[in-house]
Amino acid sequence: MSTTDITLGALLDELAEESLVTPISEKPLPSTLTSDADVEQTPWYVKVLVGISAWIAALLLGFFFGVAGLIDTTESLLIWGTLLMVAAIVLKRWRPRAIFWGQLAFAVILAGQGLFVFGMADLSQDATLTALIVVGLELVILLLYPDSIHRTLSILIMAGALTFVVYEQELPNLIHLLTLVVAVGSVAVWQAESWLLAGPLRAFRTPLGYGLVLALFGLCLLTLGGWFGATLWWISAAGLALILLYLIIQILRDLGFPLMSSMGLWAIGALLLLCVPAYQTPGILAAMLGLLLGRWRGNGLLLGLAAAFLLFFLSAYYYNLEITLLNKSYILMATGVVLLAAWWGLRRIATGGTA
Amino acid sequence: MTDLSQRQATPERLRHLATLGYLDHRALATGLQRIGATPDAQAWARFLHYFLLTLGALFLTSGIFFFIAFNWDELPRFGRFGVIEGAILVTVAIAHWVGLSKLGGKIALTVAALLVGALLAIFGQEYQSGADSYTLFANWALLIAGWVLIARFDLLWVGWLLLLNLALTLFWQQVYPGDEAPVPETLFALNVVGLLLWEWLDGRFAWWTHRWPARLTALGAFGFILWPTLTNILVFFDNYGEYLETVPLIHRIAPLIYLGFLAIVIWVYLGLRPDLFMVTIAFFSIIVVLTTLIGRALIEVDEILTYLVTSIAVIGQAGIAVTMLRRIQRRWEEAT
Repeated sequence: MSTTDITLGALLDELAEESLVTPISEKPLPSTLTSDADVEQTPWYVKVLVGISAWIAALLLGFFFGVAGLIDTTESLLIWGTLLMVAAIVLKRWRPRAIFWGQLAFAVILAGQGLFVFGMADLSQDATLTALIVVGLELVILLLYPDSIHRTLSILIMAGALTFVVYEQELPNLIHLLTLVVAVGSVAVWQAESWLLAGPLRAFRTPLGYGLVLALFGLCLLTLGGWFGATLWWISAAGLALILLYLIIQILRDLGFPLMSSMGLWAIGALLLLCVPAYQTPGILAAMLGLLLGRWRGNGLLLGLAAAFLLFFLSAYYYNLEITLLNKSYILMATGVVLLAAWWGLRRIATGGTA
Repeated sequence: MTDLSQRQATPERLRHLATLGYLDHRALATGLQRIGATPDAQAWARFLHYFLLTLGALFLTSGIFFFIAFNWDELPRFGRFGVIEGAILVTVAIAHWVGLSKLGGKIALTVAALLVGALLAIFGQEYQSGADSYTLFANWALLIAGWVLIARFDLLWVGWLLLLNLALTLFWQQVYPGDEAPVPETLFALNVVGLLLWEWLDGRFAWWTHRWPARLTALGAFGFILWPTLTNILVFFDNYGEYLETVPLIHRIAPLIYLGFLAIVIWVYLGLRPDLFMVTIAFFSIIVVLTTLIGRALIEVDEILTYLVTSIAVIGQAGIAVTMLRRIQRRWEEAT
């Protein structure tokens, strides 16, 4: 996303003129602005390096506990798991900005969770109960362990565990409810991005924002496999269409276009048309939601994730056995025609100069 | 240190100021909009133009491919060729009509290039040409080379490189199967050539606007050269006595090629053409190589110790890498 070349001083002067900030002469910029430890400043690929390294280290640590004979009983799994998690939380809170200790804590908490969950599964002998315990455990870790990468992971694990509960309890159509809750959460977090960043919940903006969108994409992949047992995918599609409509209304409002303007009617028309081919494939609508959210918030990473999901979804769609190849071809061609028609409509409006 | 107020207002800095409590949510939202981080009506129009046209073409082309796949047996021979050749003619005509300076024209030509692959596949199956499948990809790449040159579209260039990768992989599998073939080394070389080409195009031509092709290609190059490098480490410790007989010369020199490539990547992307992504993947490759080396060497001594030491080694290396990357990032940011 290209941005305008303007200095912080000039921008803050402009904002001060509109009484949005205290003039820079009265309130100098904080010296911690240059801090290299802030997570907002760390590029996504460095975070990926941190995450992958922590996973590898956690796996090796888990093997160490296994091979060393420290975890030969259910009790030892639970005790070591708990100890490792507590140690990691204490370490992270004690040295929140130290990179080496942060890496160590990340690997230790992953290993601890693995041991604890295996212990719980062994103890309860009940898959649903274990999955619910995982949800509770991740909720606790989400609150206590102050790391945005792990918090993102916690949200994904919680979504995965809830999906497993729905599957295990043979209530597959509850997945639509979960999908819609996650989709509403995604839009709510990105809509409230500025409020979250400037408020006391700032540490949760990144994990909630990316975690919920990634969870939504993951849930929509369930449409591709008959093994899950869910039907009635039109419920998810209809709900996502309503959420998309809400998002479009918000974007139009931001831009100052009334809903009944030519632009507003074009946007709603395009969405309604898109719903026709996508009524059984909520993945297409989820990708659109991700793309629009990414552009709305000027977030290149979110845009990239949504684009990558769309490409993956289309590739995997070919192998979906629930719909015949002929129907899939109709759905794809119709979606393509709708998008091209929407493009043509937009050009007509733009050249007409109406809003 | 320069005056903080003279630094460029970037979205990251504004968000950081908000997390420090310097900006409230209204000031942050207005600031982001003022610097163009969140789109105005014109930016939305540009985005939607690109988005709708690209996705529309993608969906329509995928649909056509699916349709042909479904109706394969029902369609008569001329029908099969007719549909594809007709689609190629239409898309080329659209590209000509719209013009290759516009996105619509570029996308139409890209779709035509994809359809050439479908045409070759149909030809191969219809006439049972018996040729190896690498010839399909090689011919495909050859036939669309002219379009790639004139399209002035980075996406099509990357697709073309992908085709060449596929053709080369299949060539080795089908013509010279076995461990002796320099599969990863030649794929590495191909991607390095691609990377050099992208870097040459970048900055020289206004239509080459993205960094992702160079980054993706560098990632591929690292992956291909890491493959024989790690194999060397594992084979060396597995069978030290027969190492020279087991590993062909071309694979034995792969670690040296890797080290040379690593040094060049770090030198170029730290100084000549600053790019933190490239430095990050270079550092990550070092972590992979060192971890494999430590783990494989130690396992001969003590299995329990191996897991513990390797785990700590990964944590330590990642910690050092992240510290260095953040310092580099900070140094570059301070310069803007």
